[in-house]
Amino acid sequence: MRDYLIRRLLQLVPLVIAVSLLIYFIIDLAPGDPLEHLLLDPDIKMEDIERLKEIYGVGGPFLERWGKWFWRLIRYQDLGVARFHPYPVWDLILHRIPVTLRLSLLAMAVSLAVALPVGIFSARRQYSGWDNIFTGLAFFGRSMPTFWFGIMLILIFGIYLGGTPIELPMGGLSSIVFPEGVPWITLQLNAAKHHILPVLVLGLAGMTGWTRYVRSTLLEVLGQDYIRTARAKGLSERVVIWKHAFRNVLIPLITLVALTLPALFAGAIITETVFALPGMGRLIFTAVVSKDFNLAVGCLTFLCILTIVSNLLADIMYAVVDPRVRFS
Amino acid sequence: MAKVSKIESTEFDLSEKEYSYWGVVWRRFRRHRMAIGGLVTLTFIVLFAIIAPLISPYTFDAISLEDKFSRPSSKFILGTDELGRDVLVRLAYGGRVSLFVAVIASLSSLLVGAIIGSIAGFFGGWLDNVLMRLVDVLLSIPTFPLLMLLAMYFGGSLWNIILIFTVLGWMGESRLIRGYFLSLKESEFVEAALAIGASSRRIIFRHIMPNALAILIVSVTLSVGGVILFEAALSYLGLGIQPPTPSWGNMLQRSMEYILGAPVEGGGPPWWLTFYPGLMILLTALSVNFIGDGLRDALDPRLKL
Repeated sequence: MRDYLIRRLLQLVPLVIAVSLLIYFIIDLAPGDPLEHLLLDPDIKMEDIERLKEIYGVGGPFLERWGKWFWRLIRYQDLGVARFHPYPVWDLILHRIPVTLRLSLLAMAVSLAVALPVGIFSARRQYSGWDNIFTGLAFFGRSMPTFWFGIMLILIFGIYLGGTPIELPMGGLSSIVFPEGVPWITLQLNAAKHHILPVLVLGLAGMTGWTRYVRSTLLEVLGQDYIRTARAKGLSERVVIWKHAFRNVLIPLITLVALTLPALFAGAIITETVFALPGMGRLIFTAVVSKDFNLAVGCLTFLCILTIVSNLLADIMYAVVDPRVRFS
Repeated sequence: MAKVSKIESTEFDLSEKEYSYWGVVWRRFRRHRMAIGGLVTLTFIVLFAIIAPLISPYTFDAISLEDKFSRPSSKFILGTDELGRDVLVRLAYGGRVSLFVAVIASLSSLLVGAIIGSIAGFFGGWLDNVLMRLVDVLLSIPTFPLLMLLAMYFGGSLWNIILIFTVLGWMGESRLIRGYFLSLKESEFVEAALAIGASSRRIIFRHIMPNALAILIVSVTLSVGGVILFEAALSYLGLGIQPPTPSWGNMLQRSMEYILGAPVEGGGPPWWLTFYPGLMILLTALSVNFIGDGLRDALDPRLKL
C-alpha cells in the first residue's frame, strides 16, 4: 500500500509540470501586451513599466517566464499579483474558495440524497412506471442547459411568486439590508434561502447522473451469483439489498463522488454567474474576461491541481474500499 | 435448372430481409420509443430551422422599434425582442447556427480523435506514449474554462468556435479508438491481413475502423448534444457566437438584462425572450441524447458508453 501511494505521488510530478506548462502556454497565447495600456499615460516612466513587468512576470522568453513563475509557486506558494484587483492571486483564491466549496458540497449532498433512494427504487422496480419516469427525468437532467434552468427558477420563484411565502431570493449570498441586532438564526435562515436555487442548479447534473449510476450498478450487482445465494438462504429482501448489494454499489460511487468535485467547481462558473455569487467560478470568469494573466493562470492551475488530486483520491479510496484491488 | 434458380432467388430475398446489419439496427432502433420520439422531434427542429426563415414575412435582423417587446400574438407568434425583431424567425436562424456548429464540431473532433487514436493504437511504442500522455494532460484541465479562454482570445466567430471545440474535443474519442486498435491488432483477422501483405492504411481503414464504427456513431451523436449545451453556455457568458449572428445561446444572453432588470412597459418581464431559446436548446439536446441512447442499444446491445 505504501509503495503504491509513493509511486502514485511520484507519477503526479511530471503531470503537474506538464499541465502547468500547457496552461501557461495557452494563456500566453493572448494577443497583445498586457501592460500596453500603460503607455497611453504620458507621464509614465519607462523604469516604472520595467518594474511592473517584473512584478507581473511579463516579457522575456516563454520558458524563462514559466520557470520563474513555477519556482515562485513551489518555493513560496506565490501565484503573483492580479492586475485588476491589486491583491495577490493566492489571497483572492483563498478568499473565494469557501463560497464555492460550500455550494459544491451542498450540491453533492443533495445529489446523493436524491440519487441513492431513487436509484435503488428504480433498480428494484426495473421497467415499472416510476422507473420509466425517473429515466425520462435523468435524460432531462443531462440535456438541460443549466443556466437556463437557473434563470427559469429565478423567474418563477423570484418574480412570479414574489410576495408569496415561497418566494426565493434571486441571487447573492444574503439579503443586503439587515437592521441592527438581528438574531443569528434569522441571518442563517436568510443565507440558507439564498442557497436553495443555486444548489439545485449546480446539483442537477449530479442528481440525475448519479441516480442512473446507482440504478445500473445495483442492477448489475443484483444479477450476481452471491445475491442469488443470499436469497436462496432465505435472507429477507432488506438484508439482501442493504447488506449484500448496497455495499458493492457504494464502491464505484465513492470514486464518482471524488471525481465530481472539480466538475462542480467548473460548473460553478455558470451557477455563480446566474445567481451573482462571489465564488471561484466568478473569479475565473473575471480573470478570463479581463485577460488578467496571473489571475487566470492561478485559477486554472488551482482547478487542475484539484482535478489531479481528486483523481488520485478516487483511485486510492477505490483501492482502500475494494479488497479486490491489488497494488501491483 | 429452373427449379434451382428459383430456390436461389428465394434464398437471396431472405438474406436481404433478415440478415442485413443495418436492417437489424433499424429494427432494433425502431423498438426504442424514446429514440423514435427524439428522431421525430429533431427532424421537426431541423425542418423548422431550414423552412421558417423562408416562409416568414420577417427577417432575423429586421428592426421595427414600434413593435419592441411585443407579447406573443398572431402578428408575432413568439413575440419580439428589444429591437422589435421577430423571435420566431430568429429562433429558426439561431437554430441553423447552433446545429451547424454542433454537427461540424462533433464530426471534426471525431476526425481528429480517430486519426490520433489510430496512429497511437496502430503504431504503439513511443508515439503512442507521447500522444496518450498529451491526452492525459489535456484531460486534467477542466474543459469549460479552456473553452472560455480560447473563445475570449480568438473571438466568437462561427469558424473559431468550431475550431475551439475541435481542439478541445478529440481526446475522449482518440482513447476509444486507441482501445479498439490495441485489442483488434492482436486478432486473427488482422494477423491474416498482415500475412497476405496488406498495407497499414488498408488494415486501419478496411479491417479495424469498421469494427469501431458503432461506438463512433454513438459517441458523435452524444457529443452533438454536448456541444449544443457548451456553446449555449459560452454564449450565455458572452463568449460564444457573437451578435448580430443569432444563436440560441446569445439570444438568451441578450434577454437576461430585460428579464432581471427594470420591468418593461406593459408589466411583467418579457419571459418569451428567455423561455423559447432555452426550450429549443433543451429539446434539441434531449432528442439528440435519446437518439444516441437508441443507437447505442441498436448498434451493439453490449456497448457501454
